[in-house]
Amino acid sequence: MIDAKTFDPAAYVAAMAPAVGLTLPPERQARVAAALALVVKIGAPALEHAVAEDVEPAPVFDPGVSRP
Amino acid sequence: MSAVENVQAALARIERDNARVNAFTAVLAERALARAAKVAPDAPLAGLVFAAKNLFDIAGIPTTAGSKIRKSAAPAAEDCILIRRLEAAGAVCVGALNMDEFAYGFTTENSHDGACHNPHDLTRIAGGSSGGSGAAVAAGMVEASLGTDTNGSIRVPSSLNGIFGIKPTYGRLPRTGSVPFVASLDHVGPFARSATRLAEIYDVLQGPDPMDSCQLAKGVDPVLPGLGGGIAGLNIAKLGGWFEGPMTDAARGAVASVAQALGATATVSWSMAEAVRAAAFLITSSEGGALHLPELRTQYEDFEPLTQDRLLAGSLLPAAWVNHAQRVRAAGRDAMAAIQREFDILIAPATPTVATPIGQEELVLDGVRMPLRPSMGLYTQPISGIGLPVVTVPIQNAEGAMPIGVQLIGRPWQEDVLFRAARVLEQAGLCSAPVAPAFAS
Repeated sequence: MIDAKTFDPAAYVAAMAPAVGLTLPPERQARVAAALALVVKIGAPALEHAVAEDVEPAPVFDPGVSRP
Repeated sequence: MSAVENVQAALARIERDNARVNAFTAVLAERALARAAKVAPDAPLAGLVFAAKNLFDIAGIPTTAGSKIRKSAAPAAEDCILIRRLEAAGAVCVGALNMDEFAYGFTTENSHDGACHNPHDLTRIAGGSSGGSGAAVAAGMVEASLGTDTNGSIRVPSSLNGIFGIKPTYGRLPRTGSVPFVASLDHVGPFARSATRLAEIYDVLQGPDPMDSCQLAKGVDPVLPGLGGGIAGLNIAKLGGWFEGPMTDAARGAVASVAQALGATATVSWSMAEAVRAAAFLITSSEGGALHLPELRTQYEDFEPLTQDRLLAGSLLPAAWVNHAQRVRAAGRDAMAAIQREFDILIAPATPTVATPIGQEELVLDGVRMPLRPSMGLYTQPISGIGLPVVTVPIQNAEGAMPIGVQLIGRPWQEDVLFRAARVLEQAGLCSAPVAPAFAS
């Protein structure tokens, strides 16, 4: 799912931020990249954990519930 | 005392003490006194004075969720469902409480409203994100409060302020009328200074709400009738592995004391704890970032400085990572279910340490240096990640004058068993939640 050794947070932020409409100056980009690096570090045990094909995502969508 | 007298006493305490604690962000004296005057003396919660984390709608004031951005929002048109249920039962809401902005934090070092101070030591944090909810109860300004818990935000303040709190099973209590943070993980629940009071409040909060599409509990399972049922016949174990990681002697000792009092001699290991904690971290990061992306595009500098970069990073996470994290979470639930077939209650630390000084950035535990803020949730995040119910029980004077909490973790939908165990610990004199000594007069 992820190779933490090759994942480049700075390059990723530089590419993705404009794609979702975020305009970030270079200093801010560096700080967001550092924050992303921490997310990757803490999230790695999940990303490295293989799950069987039949394990479904947890959230339940209830088609019988609607809000006005 | 009548409901009006209770409210008057609470308002006087808030007037006297809140400047030191900074738990309240709004005090609603006029409303509270008017509602107290209408309380029926025989109502189940007649005269109980409470307050709510400021992400719950309270009619007439903006629901700020600890933010600057929402301070100019339109006032809420009506109370959220949990406040409506409490007040219908005779309780009275006296105000809104401090929190980490948008519930993203474990310390309530809110730069917009000021840091919330721990009543047991005003130089220390009250925990978060429901820090005001924990501190207001511990300081005796209110008898109970409402909070939310996505990764530990009820259990961490319960622990650091030395009070009882329940994070129910995911989907038990309705979230209608509260500002969301991470829909996949958000829970709501109460705090109080005794297991019995917590049970009374929890029962009133239960019930289906067709407006909450994430509520899974279709019925009501009262805990009060069986509260004195004891723990005979229950299988109780300590959680090992991940839950025996870095922590202070105070945390380790509290878990040992509770385990001994409950007769828990076995230790079981849930091998997926770290992976589920990681999954919860990724889901939180992504859903939180995505929720706030519209404001992040135009005014990210108006967000709390502690969370700006984290929210921005979260808004960029690859969808494949988040989808995988949701499947890891499901696998973790299945692995835990196998353990819980044998055990009714699992015991784990709530926080790795007692409350730390406001402004502290790092923790060093068992020789391991780690960032303080995310690490406060080391032992809570895996449990909420799979939605299990938890009653947090307090041990006073765990490290000097500071309290610490222990998690009693149950099977899904079996909150009643946890309340019984909490009551046993309370009757044994091990767990209690008196008003913090400096505020006890």
